[in-house]
Amino acid sequence: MKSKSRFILPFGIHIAKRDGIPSWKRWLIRAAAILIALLLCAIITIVITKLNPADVLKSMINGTFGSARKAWKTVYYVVILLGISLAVTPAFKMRFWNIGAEGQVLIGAFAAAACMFYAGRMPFFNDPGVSMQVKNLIVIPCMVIAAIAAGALWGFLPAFFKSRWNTNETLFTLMMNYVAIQLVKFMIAYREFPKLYQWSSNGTSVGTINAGFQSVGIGTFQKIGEQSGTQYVYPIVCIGLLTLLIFLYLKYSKHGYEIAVVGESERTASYAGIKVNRVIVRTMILSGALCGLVGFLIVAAEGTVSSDVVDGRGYTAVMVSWMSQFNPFGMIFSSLLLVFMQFGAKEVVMPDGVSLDKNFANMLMAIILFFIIGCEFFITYKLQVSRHKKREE
Amino acid sequence: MKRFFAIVLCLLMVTALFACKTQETEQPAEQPVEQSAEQPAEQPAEQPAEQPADQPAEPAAEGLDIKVGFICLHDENSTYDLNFINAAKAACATLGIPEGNYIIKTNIPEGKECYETAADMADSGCKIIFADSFGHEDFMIQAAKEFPDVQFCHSTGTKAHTENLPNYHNAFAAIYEGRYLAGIAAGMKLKEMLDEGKITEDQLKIGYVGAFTYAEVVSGYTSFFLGVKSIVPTVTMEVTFTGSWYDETAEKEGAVKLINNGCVLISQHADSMGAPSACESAGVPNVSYNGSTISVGPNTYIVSSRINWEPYYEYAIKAAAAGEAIPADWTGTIETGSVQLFELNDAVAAKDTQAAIDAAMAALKAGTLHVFDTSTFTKDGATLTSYLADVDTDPAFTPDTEVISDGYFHESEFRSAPYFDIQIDGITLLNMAF
Repeated sequence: MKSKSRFILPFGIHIAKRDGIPSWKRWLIRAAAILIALLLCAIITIVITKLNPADVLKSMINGTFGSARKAWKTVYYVVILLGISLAVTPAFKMRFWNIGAEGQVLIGAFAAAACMFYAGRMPFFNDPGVSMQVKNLIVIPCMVIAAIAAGALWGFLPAFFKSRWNTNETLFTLMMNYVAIQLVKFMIAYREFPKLYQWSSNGTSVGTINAGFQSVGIGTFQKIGEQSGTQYVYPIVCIGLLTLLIFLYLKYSKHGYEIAVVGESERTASYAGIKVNRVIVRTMILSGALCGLVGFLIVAAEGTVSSDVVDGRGYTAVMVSWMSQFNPFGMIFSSLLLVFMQFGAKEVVMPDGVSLDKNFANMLMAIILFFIIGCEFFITYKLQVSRHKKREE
Repeated sequence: MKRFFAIVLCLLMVTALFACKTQETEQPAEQPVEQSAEQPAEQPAEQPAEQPADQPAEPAAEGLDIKVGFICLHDENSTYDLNFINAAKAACATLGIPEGNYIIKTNIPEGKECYETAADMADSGCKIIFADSFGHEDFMIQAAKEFPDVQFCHSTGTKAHTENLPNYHNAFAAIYEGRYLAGIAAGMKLKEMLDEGKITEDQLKIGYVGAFTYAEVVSGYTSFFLGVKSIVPTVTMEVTFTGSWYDETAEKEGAVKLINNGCVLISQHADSMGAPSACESAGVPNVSYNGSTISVGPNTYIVSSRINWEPYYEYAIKAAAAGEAIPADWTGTIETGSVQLFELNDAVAAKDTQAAIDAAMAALKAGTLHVFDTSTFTKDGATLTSYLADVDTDPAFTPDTEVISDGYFHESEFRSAPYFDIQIDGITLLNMAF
């Protein structure tokens, strides 16, 4: 019986499914995976740059927390990644393979930016007699609503098609990403500098929207005092609250329970009287709306939109969510680790003055993700050395 | 199962130990090699006098005490960025800026990341920051507003003269003069081919592979054409565009198309080896840009023009260190060493090419010769006496400045980046899609 489920590797090693594993052991495996991943990152960095490891670490810390502005920026990037991870979590906990966060965030960002853009062209907002606070009080709620609605729509469509016609949600959400990216590219090219768009090599970016308004522009978060980076305090507080809310929602609310049951088994859920399709659509709207909200936070903090404003974080967030086992507090740590590696690596300067670039940072991130996702294999399966083989020898 | 787990853990520890060990042994073994092999070989060559004097006494007068940052769109694999990176390293070496006081960041896209990189550099103490790509401009301006004490210099940009920021500057070079000189080399070659009977008068047609239909490219191929025309007045030219600064296949195909159309000499304004290698396999002479391509075209490469950014880097860094103002627009010339024509390939170039180039160069320097002399070209059959160019950047590309006076088109005078965008007679554009 048991041998049937076994998969035989060379050297008499067998792979067998574990019957169950105590949670301390599970965490030990994960800790070991992270440790090995970090070690491998360190070795690769040192071999390539030929720098002394202490210097590398110092540069990395300097790159992430070297100044007040850098620290604000790092925390901001952490919370944005965390926010997207939180947003995809309900869907994934339901085992709905939503890889459309990239598009949902982008379309939310785009909707928010559109509000900002058109507000900047209205006479009311150009009236110097009206204070910036009043202008923002009108524009920012519009941006929030537009972003949430756009994100929710992007989440709703695949869920609706899934529940109605059982379409494949992975492909559908992936396609929605491309729709969002191309739409944003087109609108940027169409509205802004159609000629310059082609000149710039990637053609995806616009200048800061409404940059002419006071220091930053309407619809953007303002710095507190003069300290650069303090505009990030708003997204940080916002995502902080969201972390708590998602934790409560998943753990204690009826919806959260339904999500968990659907995730375990759709059949069990429907026998228990849960309307599975409704849960799927509802959860995806929530996921999409939260993604849209994060899109708004990005635009309001940065004052601009481009088709690569999400920069692959919609996909990274899926990993973050998985590797934290859908635990919102675990995601804080995972996001911090990834952002630290990403920003830190870019600050490492090689002896010829050229610093390591984004590609290198991505490589480090890939190593960490590979190990952390890979270690789940060792949690579900175990390796055994065959006794028969031993006897033969 | 427990036993197996123990084995796995043991294995982990052993590999970890191994990793630590190799790391430790590698370190001492490699570093001295690195230092002894590379350091002395490189440094004395570049800064012979400064190094010994500089190292013992830290605040020595020789090396400039300033931190510098460079932002590049791509890395060394792009000839365009390589040209900047080499200039950056050379400028820092000449000025005696020690390692660790200059940072070159590569693969920075034309988006908010450019702003963040610039801001990070300013935070790390950089007092002057350069960016190399057109699309970096808005983000450099954003950083310039936030860090008024730091100088931001942007190559190829167009907005400095209208932004009015004291710490934001554009730079370019009068590369049209370099193109003109390269055109003379091409003209000499054509004349030689005529004299030798290899081609007849009515076969005098040359080809040009361009990237986009923007002023920078138009200015480039027109000046090249005028250079050729100054030697062989009856020449015509066909231009094809690829729609990309770097697309080896498209550039190769473009060159092949031109050759099949009967072009007897090819030049290009794009960054790959596509056109030069197509010319080499067809045996058609080629005039290059950005750097020598003699490696792929030993039998067809004539000469190359390029912008050398080193003089600007040195000038701007010195000015920033001394606290002097840097002009909003800086245009490098032949005189400053920014416009270079180099590696004339004597095996391919016609006789007396060097003499013809030197004569034209002297005339350009003296101001007796102007590349865009309105008496040398016509538009729709008529000589131009007035032209409004789009010098101040705006979304609608409104022409705003009169640029023709004293009988010539004043290129790169009202701002450093080119704005010559007239389609003159004698040049046929094969496609206008880009």
